[in-house]
Amino acid sequence: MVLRAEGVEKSFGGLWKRRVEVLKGASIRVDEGEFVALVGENGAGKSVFMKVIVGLMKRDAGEIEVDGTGGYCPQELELYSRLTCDEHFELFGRAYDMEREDILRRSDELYEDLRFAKYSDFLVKNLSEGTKQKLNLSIALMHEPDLLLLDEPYQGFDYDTYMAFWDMANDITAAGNSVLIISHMVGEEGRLDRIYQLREGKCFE
Amino acid sequence: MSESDRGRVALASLMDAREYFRNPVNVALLVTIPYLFVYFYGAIVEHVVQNLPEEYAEFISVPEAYAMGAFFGAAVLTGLVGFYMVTGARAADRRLVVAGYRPLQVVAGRILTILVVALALNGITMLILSFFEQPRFPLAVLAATLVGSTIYGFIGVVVGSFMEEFEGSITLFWIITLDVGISFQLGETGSAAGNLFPGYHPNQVMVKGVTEGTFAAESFLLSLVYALCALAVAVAVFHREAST
Amino acid sequence: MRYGTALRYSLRSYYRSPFLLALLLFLPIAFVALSFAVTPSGLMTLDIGETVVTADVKDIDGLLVAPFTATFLAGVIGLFLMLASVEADRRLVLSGFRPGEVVLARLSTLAIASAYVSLVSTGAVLLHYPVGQPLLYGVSLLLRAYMFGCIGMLIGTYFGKTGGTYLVFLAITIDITALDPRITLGEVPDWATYLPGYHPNQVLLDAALTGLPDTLTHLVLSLDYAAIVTLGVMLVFRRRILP
Repeated sequence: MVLRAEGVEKSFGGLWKRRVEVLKGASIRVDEGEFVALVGENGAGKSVFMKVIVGLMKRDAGEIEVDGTGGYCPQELELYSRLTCDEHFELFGRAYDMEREDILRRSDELYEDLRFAKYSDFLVKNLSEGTKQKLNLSIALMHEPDLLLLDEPYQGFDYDTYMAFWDMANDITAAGNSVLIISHMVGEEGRLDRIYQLREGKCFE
Repeated sequence: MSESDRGRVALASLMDAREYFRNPVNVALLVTIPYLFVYFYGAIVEHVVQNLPEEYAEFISVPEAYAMGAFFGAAVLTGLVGFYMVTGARAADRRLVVAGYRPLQVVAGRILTILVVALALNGITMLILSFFEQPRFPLAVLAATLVGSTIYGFIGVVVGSFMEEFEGSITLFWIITLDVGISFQLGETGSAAGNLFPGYHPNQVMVKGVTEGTFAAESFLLSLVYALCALAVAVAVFHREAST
Repeated sequence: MRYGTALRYSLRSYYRSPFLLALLLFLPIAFVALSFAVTPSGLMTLDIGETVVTADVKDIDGLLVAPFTATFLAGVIGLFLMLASVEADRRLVLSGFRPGEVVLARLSTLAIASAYVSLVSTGAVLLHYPVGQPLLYGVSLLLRAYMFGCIGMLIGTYFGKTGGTYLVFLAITIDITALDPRITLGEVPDWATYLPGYHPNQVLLDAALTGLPDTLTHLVLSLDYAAIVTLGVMLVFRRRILP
């Protein structure tokens, strides 16, 4: 087991705003080497559930257990507009406590896999949305985490990169690492081990 | 302009204004900024004048100082409205154009919003000014601050389209502060450089309205010409932003 | 050290923009020069603390424009430090940086930027007016600029760009004008003594005009105030970036 979330509850609002219960006892489990998807309607609470798992949001109730290192790719582009791609790799590589050689090796690999090497010295503010998303994803992947949590990570990708992404995700799980992805995959179900649907605040397999 | 065109412009403008006025901070500042500017400018000069030789008192009178505060407050706010309108709505404007609006319709909507905010703001500012110091010819002062702050709304648009938010906001404040400083001080001494600043002619209208109770028609006309030039540049800039 | 990496990149975002650097250099010089050039001359008697001095209004204006400019620039820098990078900073913390490292890097950036604008502003004043104690004058500018940089960061936590920029400008205008010796005439109202700029302003007046014996007290109190706003930023910023 790499991830186990049991009976997670989360609501918003309160005194001044209307109270909205988003998660009402959601549970999920991801084992080693598994490729699991979390699907659901817009506003079902998928991103909230992932943020709670990652620790970006506090939960009201429930238990979350993660075994090993995690890598998270948010849906929003959480990047520094005036730093280059190379600088993002260095900065986040230091955050992951990676050695300099490892940072360089991994950034080269990711540049090649996701096809954006020629933008390595571009400032983020000058990149296209698709390239920003590639960097956003690469930051989550660079330290080869045991569990990868991806929130619709391929928005803005061209078709070739989109396919390359799925191949890469399959390689990751083949190597024994796990992936939990929030996705609207069209025709990619075959690549997944399991699919959870988040409906009315609960997960159904 | 056809009826459908007018409807689109009015709708675009209404939505822009809604976006602005729905933010409670914007509404609160619409009142507090003019109040504080009027109060502080007036208060400084009032104190200074009391403690200085007479020739200084002749240089800038207390009523003028209050009016100057009103102008500064209105210019800063309208300038920022224009500035953030461009930086904040660039993508959405382009989308409106893709969706079927003509760029000029979107631009007209935006310009109209600047005028609406300027009008509301100047109304409030005049009201606040009257608590402190009743100008001898209030309408002249209103005309001066309205046209002056509208010019700054347009300048805000131009700055916003060429600069990023950080550098742009600093630049905008810099232009306004410089203008108020120069127009109200160098202008008095008749420097040619002062005449070129956006606030110079509106200031002339205001000073006459405050101190002599007359309407400086020539200066007002020159202010309008300045405003029209600024409008032309703002429209060109907006148009470029909305259509590329 | 990871703090060093965070600081290096935090600063790089600034010095990478030559236009911004030029703006931060040009603005104080232009403002101060203009103030000295356009303000009409006229002697005024000022009661500053226990000392009565006679000074030219033009000089007082120039001496006060410098802190206004430095403070405004630092305030906007603080505001955008918070607005532009807090989301990515949170991700950095999630990836392994300690929150303290990131907060410290951001505060150090603010301190360096404040020092830069204060140095330029002090230099600009010295070109026009022989400040008695330039070092002390510069320090007072730095403390005031840094404090308002912190206040800019705090404003950036709760307000967006438009409201934030208004508020920074408003806060600084109140601070500078309410403490203007031409208004207070030696009698600073009680409420104004709680303003962040009060003690640095006393230091500034002492350094530029008089040389009062209680400068040290005001300097220490300025440092205390700076420490309090720093603590405020640390708490708020830390909360914002903590997962």
